[in-house]
Amino acid sequence: MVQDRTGSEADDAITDLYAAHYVRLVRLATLLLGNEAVAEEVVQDAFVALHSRWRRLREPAAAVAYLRTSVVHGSRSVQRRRGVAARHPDEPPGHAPSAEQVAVGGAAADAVVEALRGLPHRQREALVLRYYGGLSEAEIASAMKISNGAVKSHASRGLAGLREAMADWS
Amino acid sequence: MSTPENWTPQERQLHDALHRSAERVQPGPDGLARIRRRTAVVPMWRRPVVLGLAGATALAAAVIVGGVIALNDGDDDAPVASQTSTSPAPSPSDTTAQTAPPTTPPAETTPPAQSLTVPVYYVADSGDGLRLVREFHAIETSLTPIAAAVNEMLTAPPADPDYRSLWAPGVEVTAADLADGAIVVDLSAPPTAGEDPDLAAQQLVYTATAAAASAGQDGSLPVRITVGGQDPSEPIGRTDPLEVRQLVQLNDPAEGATLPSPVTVTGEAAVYEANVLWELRRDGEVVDSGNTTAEECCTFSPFSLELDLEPGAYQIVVSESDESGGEGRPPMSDSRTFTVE
Repeated sequence: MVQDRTGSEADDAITDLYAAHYVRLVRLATLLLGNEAVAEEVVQDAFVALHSRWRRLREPAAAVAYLRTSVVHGSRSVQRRRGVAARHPDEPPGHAPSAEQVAVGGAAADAVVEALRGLPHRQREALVLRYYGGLSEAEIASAMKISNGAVKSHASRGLAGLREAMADWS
Repeated sequence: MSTPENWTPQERQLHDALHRSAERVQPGPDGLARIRRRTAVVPMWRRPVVLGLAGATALAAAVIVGGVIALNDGDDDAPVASQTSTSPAPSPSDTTAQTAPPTTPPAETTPPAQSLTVPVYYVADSGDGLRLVREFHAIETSLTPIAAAVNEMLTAPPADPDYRSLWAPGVEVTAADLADGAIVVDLSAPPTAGEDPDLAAQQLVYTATAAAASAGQDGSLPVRITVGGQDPSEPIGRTDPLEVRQLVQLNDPAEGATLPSPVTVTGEAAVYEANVLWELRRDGEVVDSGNTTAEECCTFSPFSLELDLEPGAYQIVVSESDESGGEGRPPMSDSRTFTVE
């Protein structure tokens, strides 16, 4: 009905990719950005961009990598897009936790996530992609568009920077 | 790459903290619909279907718009503009003490909190740029129906994740009254100029006039906006709904509603041949679809359908048919997520 004459292959692919990756990408972007509403916009931007490039891509694996790269890049540049930021005032990290979540150590997790937010953005990206995204060094390098060696050094400097916050949580 | 086996305790802690924090993030239910609308977008000026509709229904539109113009008392209102600073419009401090014109509801004097269901207009990306969309909000308020509806529009977010407001937060309604052939809405602070100020004004005008009509008052009056009782705007009437409203609008179920089967889906549509298409989705998959007919073609008129459903979470999407064969703007649609108990 609502759809689909040309681009229906791209539409189908977007539907599948959405089901498989959307929630995780929004969570990843939220960790990078600290704002869920903006994170959703960034991820939706990535899907829209992927749709328009579909013909040049075609391959599911490449599509996922493309989404990831777009989300990292979009999260980076979102602070510069003042319009988006203005529409969504900053929220506390992982807003509106339930009482149970707080009780199970949410507050301690928040301390770490907050400390993460104080890191330079490349260090934060490297840590989030590795420890939340579960990506390999090569995958992180490609998402961040930097070398494998640079991933290593951003990650280790990031871990060092977090150590203080982590020490309070044990 | 590190694996969990050779991770340090710090790395494990970071892993756990990130996952714990991330799991609290629950994206809205409608991301795919939002993406779809944007992947279907064509340039705004390409709207042959809308132009065709507008032409075909010029008469119907004239009736609606004509009501506004006829009741607008023309230039007789002009003196009010210059007088307002000395008396008639309410100032923020005396909303309860002012002398109410006969048409003002009696609730104005000592306002007890009451339960009201008010129409509230927002905007959505319709596929043809931003257009007005409507929700009904049940609220507790001591304001008059018009003031309550406009205040709700200014201060409450829409329930539907596809909708948003063109009004930045920070402005409230101090009063709304019928005076001199207009609905005068007084705001606590000057609105910030944002994107599409004309449509933002229409968002307020539609809300105020719809609230007036649903409270049994004259909904065809134009609206004057004042700030702290000062600077009344020119009276603003409703722009032709075919130009500013999303042509397909769901009324029920409300976004996020939980309700028993059978589920009655109702709305209004101004569509070609009165043909309204619908799709029922579960987890993003279409499980049923069909079409129904609005009561009239090409002007806003009601439609409804009834669905026998098993318990579960659903999304209903209604849309107009695409008569341009994909050449024009994408068909407009509206969607609601609901749960059958």
